[in-house]
Amino acid sequence: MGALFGIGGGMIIVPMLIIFYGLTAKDAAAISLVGIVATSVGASAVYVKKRISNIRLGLYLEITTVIGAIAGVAVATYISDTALTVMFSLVMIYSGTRMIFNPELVVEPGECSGKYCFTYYDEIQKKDLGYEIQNVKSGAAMCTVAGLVASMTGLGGGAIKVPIMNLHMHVPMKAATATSNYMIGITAFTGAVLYFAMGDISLVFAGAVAVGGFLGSMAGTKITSYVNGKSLRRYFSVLIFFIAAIMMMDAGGFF
Amino acid sequence: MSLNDTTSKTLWWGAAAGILVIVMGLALESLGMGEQVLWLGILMLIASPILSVAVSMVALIKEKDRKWAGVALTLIVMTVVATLISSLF
Repeated sequence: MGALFGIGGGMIIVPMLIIFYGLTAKDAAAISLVGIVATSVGASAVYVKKRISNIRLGLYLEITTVIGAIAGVAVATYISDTALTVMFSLVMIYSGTRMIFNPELVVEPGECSGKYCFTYYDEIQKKDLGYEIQNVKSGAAMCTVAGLVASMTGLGGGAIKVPIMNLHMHVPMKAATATSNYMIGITAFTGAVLYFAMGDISLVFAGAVAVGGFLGSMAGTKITSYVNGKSLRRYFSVLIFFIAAIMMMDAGGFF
Repeated sequence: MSLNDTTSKTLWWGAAAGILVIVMGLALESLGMGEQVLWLGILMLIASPILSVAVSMVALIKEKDRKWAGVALTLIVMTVVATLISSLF
């Protein structure tokens, strides 16, 4: 799942650890971070090699994401979890809707004249496709929010980063999910290393989750080769509707 | 080697080596002595993304792509700062 959609698997791992293994939320979040790194690194090694991930874009957006993550630690004291969760869900419902109805903007490789022209390799069409990144500065600013939410909720932030890249910056869906995947590992590193240094982590669970995440991500990268950008976009919007619904229920006290 | 190849290799070998050590650790743990091995494996795994950023930076410097090498350096500095700040909380 993580490898396919460019979002961390935290959404799935955290509830499973709590419900089936009776771990506390904090332990589960720490273990999930290790799992997220394993998933992200395994998948992005493949996507980076195939030139689907955009390393430059990833590095650039990651700077503001990290700033957001730092702010998140401080802000968490002032905003209630419920308000944040509701806000987060609304943003996802909005982007999910737009992803279904708005077509992708495509720029031909030869036509691009701006500073931020890139190509990615499309495995379905078996050729390099060009795209021009737009709204670079505002897109980077929006990634601060992704980092903020990621550090406050323990998620990878991919569910926000992919729509920012795809809708606002006009990065093709495949390149957006692959780049998000690459970034998630770096974001999760900061969180994971802290839990780890404090010795606040169950090593056996973390190890098992890491191995599972790594193997799962290998399978995910194989599947994406056969899915085209348009359907990936549609599946992604369904997934974020689902995540939004779960988070709304969580905020409403259903769990 | 190009930017993408070196970055991909770092990610792949970092993760694969980490996972291998974790698997050994899990096996040893069933005999009750895998703690340190697991610890090392997880550390190797979570360090590989940030290691890959350093490798990307070197590749960008070699390609004389100063602007993006600067971006990579900024990111490394920010990550270190982020880790230090959040360790205070």
